[in-house]
Amino acid sequence: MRMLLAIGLAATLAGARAEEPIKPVPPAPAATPARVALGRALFNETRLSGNGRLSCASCHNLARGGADGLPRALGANGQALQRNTPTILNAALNFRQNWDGRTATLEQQVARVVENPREMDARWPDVVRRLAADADYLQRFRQLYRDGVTAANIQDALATYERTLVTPGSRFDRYLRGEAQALSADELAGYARFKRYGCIACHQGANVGGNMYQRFGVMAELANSPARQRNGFGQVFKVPGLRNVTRTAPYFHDGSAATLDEAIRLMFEYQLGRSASAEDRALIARFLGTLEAAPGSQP
Amino acid sequence: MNSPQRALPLPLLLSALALSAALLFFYVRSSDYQPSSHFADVATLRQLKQVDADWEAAMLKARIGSLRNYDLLSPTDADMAGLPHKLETLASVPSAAAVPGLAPAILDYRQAFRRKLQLIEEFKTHHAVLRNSLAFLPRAAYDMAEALPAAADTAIQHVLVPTLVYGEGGTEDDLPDVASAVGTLHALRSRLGARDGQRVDVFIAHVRTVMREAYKVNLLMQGFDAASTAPPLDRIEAILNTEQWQAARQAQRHRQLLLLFAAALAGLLLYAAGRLARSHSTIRRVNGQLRQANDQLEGRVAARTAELESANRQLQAEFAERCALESRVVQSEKLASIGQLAAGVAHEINNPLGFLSSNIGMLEQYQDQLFTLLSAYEAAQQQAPASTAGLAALREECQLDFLRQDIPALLAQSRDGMRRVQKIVRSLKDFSRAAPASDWIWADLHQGLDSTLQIIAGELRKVADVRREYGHLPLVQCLPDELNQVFLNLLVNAGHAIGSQRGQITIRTGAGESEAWIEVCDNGCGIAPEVLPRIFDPFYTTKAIGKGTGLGLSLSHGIVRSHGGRIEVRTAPGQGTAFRVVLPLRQAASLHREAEACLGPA
Repeated sequence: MRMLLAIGLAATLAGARAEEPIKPVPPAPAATPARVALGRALFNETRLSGNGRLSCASCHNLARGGADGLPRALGANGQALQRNTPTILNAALNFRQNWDGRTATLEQQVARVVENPREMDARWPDVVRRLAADADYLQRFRQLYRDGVTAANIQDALATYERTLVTPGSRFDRYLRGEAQALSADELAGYARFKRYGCIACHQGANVGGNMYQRFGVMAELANSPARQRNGFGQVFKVPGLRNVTRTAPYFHDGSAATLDEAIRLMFEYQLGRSASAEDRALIARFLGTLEAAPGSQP
Repeated sequence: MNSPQRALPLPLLLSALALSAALLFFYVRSSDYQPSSHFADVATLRQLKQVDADWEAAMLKARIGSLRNYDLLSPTDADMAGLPHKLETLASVPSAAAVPGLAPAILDYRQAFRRKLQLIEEFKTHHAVLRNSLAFLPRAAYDMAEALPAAADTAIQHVLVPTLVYGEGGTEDDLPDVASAVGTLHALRSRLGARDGQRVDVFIAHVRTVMREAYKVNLLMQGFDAASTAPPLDRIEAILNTEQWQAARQAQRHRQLLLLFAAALAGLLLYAAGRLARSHSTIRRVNGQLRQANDQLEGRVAARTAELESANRQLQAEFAERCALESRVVQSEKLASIGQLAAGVAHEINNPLGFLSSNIGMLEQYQDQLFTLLSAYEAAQQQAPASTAGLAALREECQLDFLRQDIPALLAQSRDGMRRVQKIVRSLKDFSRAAPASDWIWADLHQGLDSTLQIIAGELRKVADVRREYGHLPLVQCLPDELNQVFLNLLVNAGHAIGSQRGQITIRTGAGESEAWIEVCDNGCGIAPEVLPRIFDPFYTTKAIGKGTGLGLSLSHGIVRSHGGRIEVRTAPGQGTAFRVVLPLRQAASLHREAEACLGPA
């Protein structure tokens, strides 16, 4: 019997070797530099918000891994939003945007977040008017777009810029591309556990996640009662990508996991229906650290 | 050339225009047909099918564990998200609504596509969980087996193996007694401590998860098959193929029509060219005819000119004839005048003849007496003195003394009578003689006037006193007999103009440097103004029938003109008329004048 189990285990592990479930981040798509520059300016433009204080960068701070370090960001009216700010880094790789995947494209996400009264609380016509009043913007838009300043063109410029915010060339990607020395032994061990314990079932692909929905609390029958009362427990969320995850604490849709270790522990419990030792968690965290890369850096 | 030929080019032009328009129409219509757009659409459909197939393949690969990431099943790309919208802009049809059955097929495809995306999402979610539990199940079994007695191995095996097989895609037939085996494990759990019991719980939870998720995944995969986008895509393709076929047929028809119309247009052009050539030849022919006609015309003009010339000649002959006629008329007028004068002349001649005859009778008587006396004288001479007494008696009887007085008187008187007759006859002869046209002489007009007056003196004396107020008149180169006729006419007219009261006719003459004039005035009735313009017209007369021929003044006018002179008229109705004949002293070209007189409005 033990023999049989061992064979089964070995077969499972052998299957893992067939193809790496994680893929390197592709390079940013080619884009007109002027358009990217305009998108960057708009990304930092507070006139996109109703009160003129918030820009995209207010929450998606590139210095903070494309997020804000807060469990939940403060919106235009000063109240905490419903969800933790997902990173803008590699957002282009996500199959949909937002925690619940309510927008399909980056353009849609921009369109909605600007008009969301709890977020930027602006109206597109006002935004267009404000930007068109700026001679510099007017000139740049007119150079880049036939119809000048329009909501669609603003969204396009922003999305174009955001698509450049991918982070190829991480150490792990270098490993995937055959650079065996890119990872330390610990990190390789962490990756092996990441795969063996089943994290890889959801966190796979180029963004190590971000390509499917999953129920928060799959193994609910093993969960204890406090867990069941967690915010969003049993709800379906987009599986977040784990690229640059070490820089985007706190975690989960509500930012309720303050540290990566905590997040790993809870994921084991809620999603994998098993427990992880401190060593497992540490190794996995080490592995996750190898997914970090700066935006725009090439392999 | 003629109207139908001129009218034809318009229909020709119109039909050429119509044909060109039809050609253009069919050209545009046939160029509407773009097989490449159909193939582009078919390629789109193939691409959509390929996406479907790719998903299905990725799903199967994921299901059997050979594909371990879901990027292929995550249509993040905007193009992928836009796939169903590709059908909205099919190139080969103007719009989906325009083709029957296409819009519903596209709608079906969209629904299938959406359903498929939904199934993929669910598949990924459930499959990930299934994979995790499947991966963990042997480990969980191992962990649990450590805590359980060896007797439990069978039960574990009865759960683990079918669960793994089922989880990897087996059927539910592979799960005969899993439930009872799970029941056995559950029963064993109560004998274990909390920590080991937890291991059993974990194992059983994962077994249940595998069962649940595998069932779900199998259902999803069946659903994925059922929700295939292939049938609507096939339908769309079939519809597009039909459309394409019809479009190709129509394009072929259009091309045939295009060919037909092109042929018709070519025919029309040929026809037009033929017409052009024909009209060109017609023009050439007509030009030839025109040239010929022109030549003929010249001939005709020459002929006509000849005719005209002959007519002219004829006319001239006629004119000459008319001149001759006119001169004959003049002659007959003269004869008429003579006839008119005959009575007067007879009367005039009768008078001297009367006393001539009486005188001659007396002279014959006287002669007998003288001869008797002479005979007595002869006898006495023979008988001597005895008979002297007888002689004296006879001498008394014969009134010899009276005879000596009367015979010379009778003879003188008779001589005078005969001279008068001779004179009258000579005048008549002078008058009636038709002078030759060239018989121009220098004449004393006073003589002519006198001889004319001599002729009609008898007539005039009855109605008027004739006064002669002759001025100085040199000799005039003229045809005196003709002028005598003029004078006669004027005098006759003057006599006729005198009414019931005795009037006066005055004849005046005079001369200027180069002209001589003769005036005949009367104090008669005068000429009415309305008549005045016509007095020289031939045969116009105001006199009673038989009294005038209407030729007198006309002839006179002609004669005076033939002399290069003129007749002036002064008249006042009721007071009298004066005709003045003005004549040049010398004729410049008498022959020319004659001709002019003949052709002029005499």
